[in-house]
Amino acid sequence: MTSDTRSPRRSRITWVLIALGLVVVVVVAAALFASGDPDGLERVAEDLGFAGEGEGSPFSLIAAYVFPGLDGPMASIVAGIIGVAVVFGLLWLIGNVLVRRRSREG
Amino acid sequence: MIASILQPLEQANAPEALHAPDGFLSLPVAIVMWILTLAVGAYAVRQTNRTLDERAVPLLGVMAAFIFAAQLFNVPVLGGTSGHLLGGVLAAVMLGPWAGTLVMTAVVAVQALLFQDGGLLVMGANIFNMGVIGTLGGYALYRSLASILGGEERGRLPAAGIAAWTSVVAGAVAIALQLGVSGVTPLEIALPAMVGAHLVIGVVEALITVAALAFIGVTRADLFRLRDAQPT
Repeated sequence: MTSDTRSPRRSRITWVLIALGLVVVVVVAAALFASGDPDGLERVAEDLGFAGEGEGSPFSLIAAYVFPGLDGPMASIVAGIIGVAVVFGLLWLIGNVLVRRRSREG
Repeated sequence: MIASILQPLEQANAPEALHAPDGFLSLPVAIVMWILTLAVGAYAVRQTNRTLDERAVPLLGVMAAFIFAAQLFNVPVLGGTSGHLLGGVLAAVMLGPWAGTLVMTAVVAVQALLFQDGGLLVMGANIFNMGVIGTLGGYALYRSLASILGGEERGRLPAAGIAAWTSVVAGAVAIALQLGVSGVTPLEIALPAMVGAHLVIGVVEALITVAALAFIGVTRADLFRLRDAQPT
């Protein structure tokens, strides 16, 4: 592979970008092809008649993975990409803080 | 008029809710699950702080991003029911149980806080059922099976597949117990219903987990070494 000839740091960044690109493909595929049927818990809640016990959230940001103001799959794609960016950024931040501020005791 | 009729059709693929909303569990059960999850989470932060290798940090972000995206992909399993990845075993196989727990915690928290998927009071239970059971219990099973099969190198895929399936069924048992204790639905009905549905959904978990690990094995097998790499 060509990555062998690059600096380790650069090939690491390239790998992360390729991986995130694949993740975005999963987001798009989910928006287009995911089943709209209820999942296991939701289905059981409906069948056993306790689905109505569920309460809505006291606030709404990108509720139900539908980006406000957009329609159809695009609303789900934008919402999904925002989610991917947020969780990646959050874990990258947490990981860096935990590595840099390593406790030396014990 | 036409637009208002078409709207639901266009939205048919959007997963509305994947996780338990508030109201599914009683307050005492929700609080107990929050305490358990916070205790595990605090220990996971401590362990990750001591053992996480710097080179594993990008993988931490990528695994979280993949698990978040894959959870959106509901796959039809049987008669009007769908299933989606949880990802706990996958996260733990790649990152270890403690960093894996942090990944699952962050994914479930972002889903609840940003996307209103999964309640706030029941978040502790959701993190425990979908995350901790896989990252701790599922991972322990994975390691045992892998060593029986002659080590991770040889046994990685079958061990991960069985652990992934088991973690989903165990998660279903856990939420059925929580629902039963909460008095929301009788345990003797909730348990067979939840386990029955998840016997099949667990197969989805196993297939995606094995496929993801096989893909990593072919493209970046060196990533498997990051989990046990010594911090520099």
